[in-house]
Amino acid sequence: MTPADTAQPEGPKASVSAEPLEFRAATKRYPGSGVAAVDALSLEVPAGEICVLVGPSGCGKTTAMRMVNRMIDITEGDILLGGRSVRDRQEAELRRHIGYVIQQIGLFPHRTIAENIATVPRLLGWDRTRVTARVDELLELTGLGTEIGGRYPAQLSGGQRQRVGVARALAVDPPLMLMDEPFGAIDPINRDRLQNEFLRLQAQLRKTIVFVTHDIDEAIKMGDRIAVMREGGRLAQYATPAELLAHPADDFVREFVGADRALKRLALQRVRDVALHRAPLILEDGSPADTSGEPDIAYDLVVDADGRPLRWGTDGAVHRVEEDDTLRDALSGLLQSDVQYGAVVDASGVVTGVISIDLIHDLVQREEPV
Amino acid sequence: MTTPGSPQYEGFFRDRAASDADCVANNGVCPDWIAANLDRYVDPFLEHVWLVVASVACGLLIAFPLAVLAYRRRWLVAPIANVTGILYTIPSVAAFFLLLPITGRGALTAIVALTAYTLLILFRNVLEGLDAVPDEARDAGRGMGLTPRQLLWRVELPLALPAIMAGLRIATTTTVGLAALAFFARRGRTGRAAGGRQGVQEQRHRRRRALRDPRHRPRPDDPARTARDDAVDPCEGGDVTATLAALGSFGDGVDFLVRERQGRGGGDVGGLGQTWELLWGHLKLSFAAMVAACAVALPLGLVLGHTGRGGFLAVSVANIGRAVPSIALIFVFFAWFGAGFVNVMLALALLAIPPILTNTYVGMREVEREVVDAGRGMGMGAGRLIWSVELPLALPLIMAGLRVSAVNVVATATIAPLAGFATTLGDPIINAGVYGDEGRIGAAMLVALVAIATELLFGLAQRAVTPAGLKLSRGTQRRRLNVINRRVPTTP
Repeated sequence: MTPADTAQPEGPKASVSAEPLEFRAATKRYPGSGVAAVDALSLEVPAGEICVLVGPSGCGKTTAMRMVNRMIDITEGDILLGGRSVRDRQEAELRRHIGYVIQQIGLFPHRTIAENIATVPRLLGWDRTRVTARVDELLELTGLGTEIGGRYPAQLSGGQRQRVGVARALAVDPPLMLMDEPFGAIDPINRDRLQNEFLRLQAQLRKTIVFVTHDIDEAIKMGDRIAVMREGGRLAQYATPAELLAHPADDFVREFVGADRALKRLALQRVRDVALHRAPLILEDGSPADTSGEPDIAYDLVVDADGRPLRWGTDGAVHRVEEDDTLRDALSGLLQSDVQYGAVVDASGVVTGVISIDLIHDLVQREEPV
Repeated sequence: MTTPGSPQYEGFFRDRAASDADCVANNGVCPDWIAANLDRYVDPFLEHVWLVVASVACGLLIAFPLAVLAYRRRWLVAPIANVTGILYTIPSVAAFFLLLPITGRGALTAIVALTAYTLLILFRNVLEGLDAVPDEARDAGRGMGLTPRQLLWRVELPLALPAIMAGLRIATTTTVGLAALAFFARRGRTGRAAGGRQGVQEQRHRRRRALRDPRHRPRPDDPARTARDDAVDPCEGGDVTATLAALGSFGDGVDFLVRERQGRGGGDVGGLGQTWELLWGHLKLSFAAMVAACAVALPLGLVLGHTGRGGFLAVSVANIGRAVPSIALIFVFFAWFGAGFVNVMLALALLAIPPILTNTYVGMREVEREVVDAGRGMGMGAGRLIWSVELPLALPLIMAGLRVSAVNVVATATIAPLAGFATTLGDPIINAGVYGDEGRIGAAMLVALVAIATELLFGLAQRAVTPAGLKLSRGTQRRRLNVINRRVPTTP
């Protein structure tokens, strides 16, 4: 793993891989206040994963995040980035190698977009050509287009400004990014788009990311791991989204993730990932189309020569479910069509199995003993 | 109300000059004399109060309807703000003398001039107060069926009242200061003594006696030959030509500036040479004072603004600075430290510090917190953060502060001759005995021009230093209409 503090001279592509982050009983106590803002927070974020800090307002999630780049000083405990304590590093040097995105973005209004993105590279003393190349690369990467570089923040839409904020944070390819409600000030439709865009970007870049939000749905969508925090800066639960939804640690987490957590869990799983029913497949002439495996339902599914479903038995209309759908969407479709079974098809329309409302029900029940 | 002609009024100057000169000369400030003669302050004090109250009342009477009108018809804001702004810029001493030919000698001139100064402050505060009314309150009122008039009286004005009261407060403190100069308006061409000049040198006493009593008037070979001589009718001594006669007194004034003539005390006055000399002295003094003020106020304001500490100090300095009349400050300095370029310059610098300090502080604090946070989060050190983020963003407000100070200094430099530095444009205004009335009018016009030019120049500079990206983001009406440029804080 390359140390974060070497600004590599080879060129804009010079990549620093992600580094793991570890909170070790990190505590923040403000003088004159009896309660800790962050109370002995311990968690590990593996390199290249998104860790979402989520909780009600005042739970210390932003404070915890800001302790990482020492915008807020740690009172007790420690935070290790790539195995090195952040307390051992110079503040400015540390921050220059940690991407930082905040809700209001904080673009410099008197600087052009290109100059904004170039802030940290310039602080690190990159030469002009390298800075220009990197800025153009980032503008392309974030889908803004290089022609936007000469404009000022005031001339951009909220979504564009948000992308610039991300581009600016990525400028020196930092091993860690801190994001404080980065999509908080954006309307729901654009937020969804930006989230998807960011997830695609992350799939490519594989940064370690600490992501703060108060929105549990965003947390479930964005997080590889979710740290639910509660009043007094205490960690209520740290788990993967599925685990969190299936087994909330206590009543606080259960309430926080919401009464619809069963549905949220279904939203996390795709149809193709579950064990489906198998129906006897027959061709139109009545001969069996597929003999592999033992059918576990009694209804015949008639398929054409390529394996595309045609009807149930003699005249039953077939409800199709895409295997890329989430279980939640599949359930919704079944309920809406008022059918018990749906034929699961792949991208080319070939049947891969059968899903039923009971099957989904069983999945939910199996993972969550009441 | 005592008039300039009454015995007591006259005695105010004579007694001090004749019997207590030593005290004043040796000790500067002379508390014993003040205590012993307290009764002499009563009438001027009452007159002062009356002038202030009348002027602020007149100002409100004019500014309030204007502001309400402009509030409804937005396009009126810029013209009204500009006109009142120019009025505000004209130095008060000059204004008094420019008004003399029109309104005559006396309280009317003083009130007209003082009222003019309150207009900008009152107009802006009333408008800002109305603008600050929350949209939802206005909307709810309209939704419940209030007519525009009812909306104004029942919703908007009550909500704007704090800002309006703040405007009245600022206008009053400003006027209290300016009214101290109103004695100029009272004096007219037979002026009593040399304004508020406090004699410290024997030569001055002689001059003063000469002014009051023709018997003491110096002979041509007298060492005090340059003494001011008020007794001659200005029309006799003037070398007025017909070309400018059409403009009346103002034409005479222009004539004075370009043409040399025989002064009343003998010697040549007027003409381009002397005009230039006085103008140059005026600008030199103002510039030196501004440089000194900047050297103190800018670094202090930047550091205080960056750290966010000392906000109370910055605001207090501004409020005190606004409340202390410049003429009083000049005289206190004069009394303590004596006459001379450096002392007058320091007094002016002291006058210039509050607006620069406050605006620098406020400008730094008004940089959006998330921008500063982002800068810090990216690893900018304090120095770099100030220099490349906070300062550029605060620059427009800082320039606005410089503008207020510069105009103020240029205006106040006019009364520098009262404090012993004679080479400013104020000399012909204050010592009309030497320069004649046309000299006084001419100099007053020039001072007004210099002040307005300063205002416009700094206005341009302010535009020039406003970062391009910032101009783009100033979409809101308030900012576009210049209302924030010359900041008159509406909160304590």
